[in-house]
Amino acid sequence: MFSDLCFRLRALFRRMASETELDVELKFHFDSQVKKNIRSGMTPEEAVREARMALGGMTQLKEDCRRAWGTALIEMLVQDIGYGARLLVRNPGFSTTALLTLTLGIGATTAIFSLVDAVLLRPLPYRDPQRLLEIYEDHSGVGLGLTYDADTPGGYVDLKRQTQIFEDVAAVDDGNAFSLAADGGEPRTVMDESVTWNLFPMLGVNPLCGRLFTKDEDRPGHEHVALLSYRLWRERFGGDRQIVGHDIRLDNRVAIERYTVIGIMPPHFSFPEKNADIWIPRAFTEQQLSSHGEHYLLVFARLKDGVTLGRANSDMLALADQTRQLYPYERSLHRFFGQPLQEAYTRDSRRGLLLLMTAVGFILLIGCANLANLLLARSVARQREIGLRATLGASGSRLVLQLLTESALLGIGGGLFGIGLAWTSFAFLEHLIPADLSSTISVSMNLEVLSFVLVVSLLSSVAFGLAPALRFSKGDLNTFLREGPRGSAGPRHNRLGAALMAGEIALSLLLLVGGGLLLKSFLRLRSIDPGFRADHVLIMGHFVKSPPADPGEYGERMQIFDGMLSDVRALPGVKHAGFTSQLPLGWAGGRAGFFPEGAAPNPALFDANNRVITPGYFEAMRVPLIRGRFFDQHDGPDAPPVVIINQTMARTFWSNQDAIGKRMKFGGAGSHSPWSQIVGIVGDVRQVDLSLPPGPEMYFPHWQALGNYMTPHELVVEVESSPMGLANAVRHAIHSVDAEQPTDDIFPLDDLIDTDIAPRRTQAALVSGLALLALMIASVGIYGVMAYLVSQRTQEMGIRMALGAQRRGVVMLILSRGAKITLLGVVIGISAAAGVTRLMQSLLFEVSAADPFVLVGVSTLLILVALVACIVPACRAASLDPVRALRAE
Amino acid sequence: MPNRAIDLPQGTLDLLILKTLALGPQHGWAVSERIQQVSSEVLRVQQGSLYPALHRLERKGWIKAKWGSSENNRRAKYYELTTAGKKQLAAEEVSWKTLTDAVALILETS
Repeated sequence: MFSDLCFRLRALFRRMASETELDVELKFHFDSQVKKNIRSGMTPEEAVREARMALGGMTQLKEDCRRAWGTALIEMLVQDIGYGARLLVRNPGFSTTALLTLTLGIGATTAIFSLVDAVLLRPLPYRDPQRLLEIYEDHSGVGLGLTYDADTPGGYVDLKRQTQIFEDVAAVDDGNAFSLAADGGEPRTVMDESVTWNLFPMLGVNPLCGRLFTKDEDRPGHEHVALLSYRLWRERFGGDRQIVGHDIRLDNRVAIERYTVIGIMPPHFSFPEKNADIWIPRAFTEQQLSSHGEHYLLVFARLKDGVTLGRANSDMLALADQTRQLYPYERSLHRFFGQPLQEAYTRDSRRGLLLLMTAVGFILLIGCANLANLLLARSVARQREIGLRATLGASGSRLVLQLLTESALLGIGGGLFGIGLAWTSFAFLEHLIPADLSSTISVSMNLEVLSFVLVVSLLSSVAFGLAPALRFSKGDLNTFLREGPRGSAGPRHNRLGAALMAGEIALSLLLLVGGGLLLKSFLRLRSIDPGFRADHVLIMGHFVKSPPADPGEYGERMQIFDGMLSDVRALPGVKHAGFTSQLPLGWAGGRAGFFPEGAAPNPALFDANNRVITPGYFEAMRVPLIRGRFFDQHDGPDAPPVVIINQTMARTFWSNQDAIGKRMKFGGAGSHSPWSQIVGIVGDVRQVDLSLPPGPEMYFPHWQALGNYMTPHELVVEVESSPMGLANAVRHAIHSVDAEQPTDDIFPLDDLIDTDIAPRRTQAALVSGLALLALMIASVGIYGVMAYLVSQRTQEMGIRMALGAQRRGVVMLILSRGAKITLLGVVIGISAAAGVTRLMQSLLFEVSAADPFVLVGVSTLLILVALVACIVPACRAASLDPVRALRAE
Repeated sequence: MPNRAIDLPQGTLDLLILKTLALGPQHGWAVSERIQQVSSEVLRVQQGSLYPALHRLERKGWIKAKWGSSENNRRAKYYELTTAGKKQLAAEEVSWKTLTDAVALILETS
């Protein structure tokens, strides 16, 4: 076996030597034979002739010997490749068109595949990531559209007990901010993730240096410890490992606490969000752990080995039923459900990615159809060459192989350029990674992607090369030889060409419909009234998040806020200013129970978005007051407790009556919160996302929110001119009251809307762009098919015109042929669109997948473009000189 | 060439080459001459088919080639049997014997 391989390799790579040796060997034999013949009495001439005859045809003999070397197949391939390459170089027009089409198709497909690979296919960089779940509370039963709500501490405790399904359960109190107290420098906001100690072991992540939290460190009263992110460590501490073991001062705007740095996390680790700077243990008090009404925790779990997601989810349903018995008010309509971590991260982007993948796949298909048509046309021109080769003894399969090799050369070439194209798009593609994964994963050219390119290149080569190649394996050699290059390709080719063209049109239509629907959704979304005005508003974020529990401290803090507000309001150019606990459009969490006075104490759900604001907030955001009044400076700590609700809340819980003047309390029916009187009803604000309808919402004044888990957190300033123009003035005003307050998170409110619609804008732009690209490629294809059709029927046209046909008639003849194919394509496309776009419904916003405006619009566009592509060849046919057309061979 | 010469049955050329080389290293011309001499010119080896067969046997590792000089001092390619070739020869001799015995038996009895 081994000697066999060596022999073949030697024959292959020492080709020259082998050939020379063969020559010498055969010459030796020949000469010996001649000598023998002479000895036996022949004349020299006779001797040579006789020896030649004995040995047989030298060329044939050598070929037989070469075949014995076992290198024939490879040599044939090399021959074919060389021949194919020469042909391609000789037809630069065709080769360039083909390579360009393939580069675009394969490049786009590769680019999107690398993104899909990074986001959906490659496992997350944690231990056994397929067993990791995120667990949500599903409130969709309440009709609030909240499927993915945050969990409560009580829920976390319940889940943690489910040891029959979970190996471990960990909780994260996410997105809190500290000020890293300045040692001389600017105070800097650090994003904190407060986690239970077991989170890191559960994920299977190890620190870069130092250690992780221990079991005791997430208990109240334990010494403060912290883990730093790689980024914070590099930026703030210059990457000095000595920081491990030292203290840093973290200011939560209530008190400055010392935390001992125990370790540094590795680069690219950021959990659960992309911008985590620091992790500290979440020390729940017993009282907090018993809360079943406050939804602010993210809960993650690791499934036990062998436990399926379905089993875990059904067990959690049973758990929800039990807790409903125990806490009827808080938990009445809640249910838990888990989702694999990767799915949880990608659930908003999965559909969009698959849509993009489909779109680029269509582009590639359209490109292949184009090339198949080009090759078909060219194959007619090559009939004589092929016929000659077949007559000289090339077998059908040999010819097909030769033609496929030519296609594969183009395919591989397109693949190589495609890799280059995909590579250049990576920087852009990074933007399409779901935000929370953006520091964890990246788009890269890896083995999977390269194999994908190879497979796609070869598949496309077969896709566009097979039909033209097969034509020759079956054809009658005589016809090939007899018919000139201008001979008709026969109805079979015409039908195939027309079918390919109709297919291209149908695919382009699908893409155009997709792009049109997304574009219309985007425009719809942009015209949505978010319930507030985003222009001329400056936001400064990351004021204290966790409220002080001590009434004295709480009052102190509120006083500081009031001081900041009056300083900011006094700035020239500032119209209104206020704080809110949560800006709109950002967060699905922050809901809390409430209880309307006089309601039946049954387990019906009273649940609403919980916000704590200062006077001036609604004015600055220009949220309309529907009835009643806004908060003012009189709603102090000792004044009668008041609350403002939104229209949806009034309509939902006080339907058919005036909500103003009614009383309700924070928390469940049994809570000890005081009754608050509803003093105002404000317009609905889109809290979670522009595309989600608003839910019930209640606002409490900051002085009366002691015991609420929300605190004023973001400063909202309405200004007269450009918001960022006042940024420095606002910073100074804040620092004059509290020098330690970080002021680095400052941005115009417009950005928030922008961030909210950016994914849809990108998606709509990408798909529409791809659809236009498809339209362009397809129109080139249509032009090619029609031009070929005309060139084929030149003689016929000549005869028609010689017999008196009008030029107009000739134009109509060609146009009607083109129009028939186009209409066929459009009809196929529209019928397919009905099925395909239904899968897109979840990506659309207030637009039906069968939107008639879009369907009619893009069909018209497509037909117009197709007709233009047909009219040029048609006019050329009509301008033929009949005499010359008749003479044309 | 005498008329009684017959063409070699398919597949026997390899066996004849191996057997010839068992006597010692030979070049292609000598192998061809030897087969014809020994078979009293009954078997006619197509000279053209000899070389592809030699190369095929070399590829299979049953014979190996060496360059040397011929009787009249010309460079010639000599083939000799390898160990694997000797085994192959023995095996083929046995199966040839079995085949011809069986054929002879049938011819005699029927």
